[in-house]
Amino acid sequence: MSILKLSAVFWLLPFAAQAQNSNIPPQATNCVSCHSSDGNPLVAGVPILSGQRALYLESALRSYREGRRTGGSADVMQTYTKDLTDEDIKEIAAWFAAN
Amino acid sequence: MKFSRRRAILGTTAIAGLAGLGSFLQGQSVEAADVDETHRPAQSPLGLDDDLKNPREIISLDGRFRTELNMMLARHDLPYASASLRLYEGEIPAPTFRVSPGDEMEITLHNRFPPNPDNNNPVLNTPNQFNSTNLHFHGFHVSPKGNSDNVYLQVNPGESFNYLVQLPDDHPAGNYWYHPHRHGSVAVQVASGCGGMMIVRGTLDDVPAVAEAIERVMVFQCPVVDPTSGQVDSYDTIWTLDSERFWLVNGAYQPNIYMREGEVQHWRWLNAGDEQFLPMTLDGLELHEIGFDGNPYDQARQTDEIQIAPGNRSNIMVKALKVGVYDLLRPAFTQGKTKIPEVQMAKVIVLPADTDRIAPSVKKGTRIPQGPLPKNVVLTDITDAEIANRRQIVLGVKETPGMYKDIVFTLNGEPFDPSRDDITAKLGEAEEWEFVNTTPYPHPIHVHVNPMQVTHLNGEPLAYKHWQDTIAVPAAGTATVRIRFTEFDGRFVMHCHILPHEDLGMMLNVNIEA
Repeated sequence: MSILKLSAVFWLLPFAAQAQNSNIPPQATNCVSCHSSDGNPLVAGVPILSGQRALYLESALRSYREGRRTGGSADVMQTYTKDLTDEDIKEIAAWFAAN
Repeated sequence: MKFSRRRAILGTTAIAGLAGLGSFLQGQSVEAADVDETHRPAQSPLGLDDDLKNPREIISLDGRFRTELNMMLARHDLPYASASLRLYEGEIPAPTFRVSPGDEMEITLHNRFPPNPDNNNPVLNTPNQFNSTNLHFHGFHVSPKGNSDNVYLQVNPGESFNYLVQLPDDHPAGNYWYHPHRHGSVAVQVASGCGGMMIVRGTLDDVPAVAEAIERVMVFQCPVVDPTSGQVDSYDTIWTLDSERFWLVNGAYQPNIYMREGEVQHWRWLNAGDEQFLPMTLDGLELHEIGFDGNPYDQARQTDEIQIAPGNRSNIMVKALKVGVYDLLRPAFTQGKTKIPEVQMAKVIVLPADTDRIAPSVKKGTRIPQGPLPKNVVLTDITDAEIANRRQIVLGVKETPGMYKDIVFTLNGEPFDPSRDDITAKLGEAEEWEFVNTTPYPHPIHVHVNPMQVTHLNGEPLAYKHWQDTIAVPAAGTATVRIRFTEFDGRFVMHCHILPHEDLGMMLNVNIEA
């Protein structure tokens, strides 16, 4: 992959590009697009995941998936969580909680 | 510059006999009965030599607007490069069109570009055929069919097309613009500087505080020149959001703008750039916004910052408080995840109220509009009871090997397909749409033909539900709008106005059934 190509991918598909060089679990690669791989987002208004407890993250992800949190950015999260399994949610939550 | 009727007729003959020379006629209207009333040269509204000039204007008369519009390659010595640019009439910006509600506009678009180097079947949703084009009337509430505001048309090199656009009698008064809209070449052509303001005269101009003020048209553009070729032909050059962009105001780099102490001027802004947002400040002066995207506000609103995303326009009453020199800035900011540097757009020089540099006969507004601004029937609030349907439109991007940069941009999971009706709605009905942005960058979504009333941003209800035709959907956030489909049936598009995103697929079709 050329440097130019890689830089474009970093801008637009950072989840894929960053996943190449890290131990991010496949289920969490979409998350880092906005939340960053260390859970400290660059995008204004996006919640910080770094330091959150796994149980809280699991609960929040299930709430998004099941439509108990709706409106605004919750609708963004709903599109990402609608196909996650319980196991996926556990892995994502565990990974961000460990960061 | 004055043109006699005889010269106008000679111009007609020249175009008819020597079509190839049409480009030398600078697009002057050749059929108008009185060219003095239908053309205004580029000029400083204050009559000062080093003051920012308004772009030249072509003006409707007695309900008719008529012009030729030549799209051509023209060399410009920009402050940062000598560049061959794709431009209307070879001018940056293109001439301003000034029309009135109820006007009939007839525009003959001539594509005078050389043949496309890539003349084979283009791959949909990749950059292609940079010398093919068409014409879009951004923000106009007009028919999207036939030879009106129809962006499915393609005008190839050497071809001409006659556009005929009928403005309704109740069209809102404000700022609109025209630019190319052929899918695959739109980003390169607009990034080159191809675009001009369109002003619909009307109610807003009749507000006394607006009528007494001098008016400035300010078109912000940034031709993104490939330094190796001196052209805007490389998609790689314009692709990156933080490619070095030198912003021009009416084609001038960091111009001076003059005012008089205590004066209020009416500024009409257009972000005709390809990708970057413009959150603008002018510390030391008062800014009062009176309209956005061609749609008058309910009342003047004082603000410290005016945000115009690519495609947006704003009407601003600017008040000079004290003698001095001030900076019109686009401060450094972060667009999504990308840091964008500060840009000095212009210097605003406030002269003493009794300066002898400006003739006393030049009009001078001093008031900000007070109380309600004129209402428009097209901009009647859309109530809950009126909503016939609610939809969610998801903005995204996905890896697609073989495409440009191996990606496509998507709306509801799919890149653009001109043969698909993504949204079908009924003429006369209103709908509520929630744009859900699943990317870490904001996307200015432009819907053709009908204005949108913005009700929520990131789920928060707006106290004042204003009207826009291009709404910046926040990064990883949402925007909720209501649209009433009135007067015009037919197919049109909605798309991201970060134009490389449009070329790469972030566009869908809306079909309004009669």
